[in-house]
Amino acid sequence: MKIAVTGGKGGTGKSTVATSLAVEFAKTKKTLLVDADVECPNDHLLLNAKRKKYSDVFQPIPKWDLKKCTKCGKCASVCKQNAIVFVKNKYPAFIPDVCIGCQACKVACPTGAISMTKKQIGTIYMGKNYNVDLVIGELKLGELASGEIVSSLREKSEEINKKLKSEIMLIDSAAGIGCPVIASLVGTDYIVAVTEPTPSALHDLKRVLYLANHFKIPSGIVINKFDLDKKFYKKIESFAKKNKIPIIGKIPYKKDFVQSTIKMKPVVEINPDYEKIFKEIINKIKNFKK
Amino acid sequence: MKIAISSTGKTLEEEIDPRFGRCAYFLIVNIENKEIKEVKAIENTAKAQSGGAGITAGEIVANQDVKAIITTNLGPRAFEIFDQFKIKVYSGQGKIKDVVNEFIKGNLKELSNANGPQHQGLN
Repeated sequence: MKIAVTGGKGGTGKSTVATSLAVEFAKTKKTLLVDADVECPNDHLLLNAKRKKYSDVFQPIPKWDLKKCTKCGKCASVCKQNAIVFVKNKYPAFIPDVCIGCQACKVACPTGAISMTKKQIGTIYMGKNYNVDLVIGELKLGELASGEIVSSLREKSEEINKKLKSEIMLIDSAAGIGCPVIASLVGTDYIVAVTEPTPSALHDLKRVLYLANHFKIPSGIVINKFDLDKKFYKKIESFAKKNKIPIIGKIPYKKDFVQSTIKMKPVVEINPDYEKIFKEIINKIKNFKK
Repeated sequence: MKIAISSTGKTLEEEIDPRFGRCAYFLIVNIENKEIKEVKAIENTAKAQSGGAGITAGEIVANQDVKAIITTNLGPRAFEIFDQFKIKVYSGQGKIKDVVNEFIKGNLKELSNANGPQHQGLN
């Protein structure tokens, strides 16, 4: 079963929930956690797992055969990224930094002067702790294509899982609802949307659940720090009821969670009382499946 | 030969704009026999772009068929364009008229690498 952990707003506790669920799942089932927050991956820190490089991620970039180039400028005119600059009577100038690898230039070139080469845009790492296997994607600094990294990470996770044969694959997504988040959600069986009782979190939750609905993936809401604001908690509850989305977990606002982050230990290791919260979430996910 | 200067205004009396991609104007100066023959100001339409101003500005300048540019700081992307188009980059600051005269005398320093960070003009 593939479960995505997302939520829209940053800082609601996606990684805390994802790592805690992974540790809890791993007690009974072989579990793989995929850290798809490729701009700022942190799950290895929360689980105190050493990272080992698995592979590099590349992106295609164009290369010109100047013997075939007729200086027509078509490549530059189709480049949406403005990575190709054309000036009359000169060979095109190319800024690899800005290229996202769409290959439109190659298609547009009437003389076949453009072929593809590649540049590194990220790295995939592996790690393990608390019986949880971890696969991590990390975008190279200055690169733009975080969605590409997530897609590549998802493919590699499948490849890795052929050997690991994990029953549970948890995908911890980035904040937001853009390309890297979409790439984290597609092809999953269930979406755990982590939120908190604040106006910005509810606003963003609605947007991310819209995505879940678009992809027709069943979802459940986890309200983290639910006791922060009782009134607003009720607001989230009535939103969930109205839209028939189950609230599958409530996590209190406690210092233990801060300690967990600082000490790089899952929260259940700090205080075993939280075990039942995550067990209950797992049960609700499983029951939904049936 | 023609050169381009990142400028705060439209005449040689103005100061150089230290930012290349987000300068107000480019002065296109035609130099013949070590003398300033003609000055033309073009607006930098890339100035307010949210991103990639250096690239668009580089394109604007390269389209003027200049052999060299003078600015104070140039970011890596614009530098890449001038490097590939074989347009030389010189660093200067102060009143444009003085800087151009220094250029004619051969006293300006040629840049062989980007000396400004990306996005510098946004600050």
